[in-house]
Amino acid sequence: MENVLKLAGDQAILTEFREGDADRAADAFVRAHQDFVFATALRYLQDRDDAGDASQEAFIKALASLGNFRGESSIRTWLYRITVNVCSSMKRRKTVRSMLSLDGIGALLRSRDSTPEQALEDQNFRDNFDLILAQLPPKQRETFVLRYFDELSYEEISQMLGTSVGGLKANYYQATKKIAQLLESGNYE
Amino acid sequence: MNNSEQHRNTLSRSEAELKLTDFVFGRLSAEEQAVFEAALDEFPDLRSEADQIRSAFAGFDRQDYLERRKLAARNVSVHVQEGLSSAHRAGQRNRRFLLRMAPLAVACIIAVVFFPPFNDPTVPAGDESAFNEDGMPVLDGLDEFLQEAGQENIAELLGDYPANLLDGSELSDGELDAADAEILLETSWHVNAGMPVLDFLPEVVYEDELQSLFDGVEHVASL
Repeated sequence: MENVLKLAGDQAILTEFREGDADRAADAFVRAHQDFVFATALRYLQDRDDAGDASQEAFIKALASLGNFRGESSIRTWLYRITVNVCSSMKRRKTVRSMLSLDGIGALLRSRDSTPEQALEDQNFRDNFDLILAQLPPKQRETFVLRYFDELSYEEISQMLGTSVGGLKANYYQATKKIAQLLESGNYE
Repeated sequence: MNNSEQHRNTLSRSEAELKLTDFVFGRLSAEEQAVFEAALDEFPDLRSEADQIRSAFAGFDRQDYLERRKLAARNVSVHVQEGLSSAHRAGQRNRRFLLRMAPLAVACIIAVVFFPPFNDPTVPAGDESAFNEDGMPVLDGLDEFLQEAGQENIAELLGDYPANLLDGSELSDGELDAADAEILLETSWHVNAGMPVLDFLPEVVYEDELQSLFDGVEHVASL
C-alpha cells in the first residue's frame, strides 16, 4: 500500500514538474527521497560529508533529466543508479587524490568544517545497527537495507543490483540470519 | 506466489527458507502466509529459526532507525537548493559574459577584416616620413650620387632589380610592384610574422640591400 501511495506521489511530482511549478515539484522530489539517497550514499562512501556531497550531486543530475524520465523503472531504481554512479565517481576521485597525497589536506579541511553537533549526530546515526550492517558482505547489506528499511520489491532491487530475484531472496535470508546472530550475541563492535 | 506454488500449496525446504524473512517481518500476503505456515509444520526447525529472528529483532526499533536516517538527511534539500542556485548563477554569469563578449568579438572580426594584423608587404614597415609618394625610401644624397655615377652604367650593372630604387617614376605600376615584391621576398617572413618586435627588421634588411647597391654603384663609378 505504501509503495502504491509513493508511486502516486512520484507521479504527481512528475506531472507537476512537467506541467506546473517545476521548482516546487523539484523541492518535493528531493524531500521525498533525500533520506533514501543520503543513506545509499553513506553506505557506499562511509563518510557523512561525502555522502552529503554525493546526494547533492545525484539530485542535481536527477533534476536535470527528471523531465525526460520515461518511467521504464521506478523513480527509486533510477535514483539509486544515479547515486551509485555518483558515489563510484567520487570514490575514484578520492583514490586519485589519495594517490596524489592530497587526502590528508582534504581530511584536515573536513575536520575543520565538522561541528561538535554534527559529530554527535554522526555518532548517533551510525549506531550499533550500522556496525552490524558493516559486517555483512556488500550485496547482502544492500539487499537487506533495500528490502527491510526501504520496503522495495524484489523486482526493484533486482533492477538496482543486477541480481536475480532468487539470489536476492537467498541474500536477504542469509543477511537476516547473520544480523539476528549478531544482535543476540552483542558482539559486533 | 508463482504458479507451481499455487498448484502445490506446499513449499520445498529451500523455497520455505527464501520466504522465511518475509514471513517474520510480515511481508507475505495472506495466501502466501497460509502456504508458508503449512511448510513450517513440515519443517519445524524453520519455525524455531523464525522465532529466533523475531526475538533478536524485537529489541530493534526500525521506525526509530528510519527517523534518525531522515534526521541525518534533512539538510540535503537545502544543499540541493544551494547547488541549483549556484549552478543557475553560474549559468547567468556565463550568459552575461557571452552577451558582453559578443560585441567585442564582432568588433574584433570587423577589425581583422578591415585592418589585417599583418604588415602590408608592399609598404615596408617603419617611419612613414622616410618614404616618398611611391612608397620608396627617401635616401639623402642618392640623387646627387646617381648624377655623378651615371644612371646608365648603374642600370646596366644592376639590371632590373634596383631600377625602381634608382628611378621609380619611369617604371609602370606593375614593374614597381614586381620590384618591390622581389626586394621584400627575402624579408617576407619578418613582414608576415606580425610580431611588433620584428617590424623594424624589414627596413633594416631593406636598407642593407640598399647599402649593397651603393657599394656596387660606387665600385662602378670608380672604374
